[in-house]
Amino acid sequence: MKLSRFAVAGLGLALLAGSAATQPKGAPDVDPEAIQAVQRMRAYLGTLTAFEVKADSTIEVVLEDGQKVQLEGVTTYKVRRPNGFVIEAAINNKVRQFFYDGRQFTIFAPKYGYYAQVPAPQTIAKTLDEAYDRYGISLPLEDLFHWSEPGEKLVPVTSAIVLGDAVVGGVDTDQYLFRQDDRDWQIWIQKGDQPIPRKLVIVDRTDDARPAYTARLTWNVRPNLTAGAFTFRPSGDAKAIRLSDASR
Amino acid sequence: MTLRHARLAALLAAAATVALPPTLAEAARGAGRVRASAPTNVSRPAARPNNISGRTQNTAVANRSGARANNSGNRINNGDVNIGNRTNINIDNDHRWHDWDDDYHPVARGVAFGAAAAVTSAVVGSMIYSLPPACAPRPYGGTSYYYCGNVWYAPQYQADQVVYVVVNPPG
Repeated sequence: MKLSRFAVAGLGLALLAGSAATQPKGAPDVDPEAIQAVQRMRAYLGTLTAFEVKADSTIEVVLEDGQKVQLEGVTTYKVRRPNGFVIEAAINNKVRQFFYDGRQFTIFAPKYGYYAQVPAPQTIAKTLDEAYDRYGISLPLEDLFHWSEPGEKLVPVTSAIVLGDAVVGGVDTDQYLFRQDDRDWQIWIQKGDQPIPRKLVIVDRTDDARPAYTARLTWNVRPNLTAGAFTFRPSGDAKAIRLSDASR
Repeated sequence: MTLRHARLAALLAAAATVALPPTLAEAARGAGRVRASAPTNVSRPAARPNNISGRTQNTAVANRSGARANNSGNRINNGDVNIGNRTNINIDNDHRWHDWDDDYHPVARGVAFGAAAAVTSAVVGSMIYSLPPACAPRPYGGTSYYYCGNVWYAPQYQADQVVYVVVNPPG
């Protein structure tokens, strides 16, 4: 199990080697048990060849005068590792579908009937990087993909705390708190031999109003997905348009 | 004062100097300016070199004809209306409702309307979030275009957002 992506400066080789009994110097706020819980979750997600997740989410936005507004959303993920996904993100009245079948990346707005399609790299991870770097697209809860990729680079945390027992939607979980760059986040990981994330909260610390993203996750770790499910098939009245490319 | 009222009031105050289409008042939805929104992942670094907002801004700056002088949050007074022939149909670069709402803010529509009505040309490459009223589809060579007010628009995705870019007449 590699810790590289989650390694904290000063966390040291002791933890990397799995003997985390002593808290390393220089990282007094990092509880190795919290780090290990995330590692265990990542390792488990890495064993899944396919999964379906439904995220019921709330995104907070802050108005100029500091008033916070919550936007409700539902995002569904159908994933075939390492090279397929269909994601539908619906936030308020805005719906977008994202398709990746190992060859093409497609974005589709059902309401408009517009889709844009670009050639895609060979893996989900690379496709997400390209979507972000080149097209400015960041999918909600992209973490699900990064976490399930062994060796994927994560942002180092500066604080990691075990909060312990919590029940999310009737499921027994452990709650953990993390702090990194300008974000605080909490994760509720299911207890037992399927350590999947059940809830996530991410807080932006750069704004005084501390807007938060909250997502509750419903999982199917044995979905029945056909190979054709990941390929976008435009209906008769769908129209192809350009996707603005930052690299050009 | 409710949020909706506040937004509407701000809008209407801002609207005082320009002639607005009647649809604006009823479409106050989403018009408040957003200063921040929660991040939806922890895997990407906070600093976003290719932040789409930055890119959009650059595009707009590049195409800007010098008419826009707005940072007050008052998008109606973007300077893009009533400025004769030097109109730059403007994309709003502030933190954005349209990130989250397909109905967009009506301000852009108002600006576009004013611009299209007031001028004879729009800067190629500039963008709007929604088309002026009565902008008809005019497909050409298998590509989607819209044509109105003597301006051709091509829809495109700017990240996950559909925008309409002013283009040269096709053909």
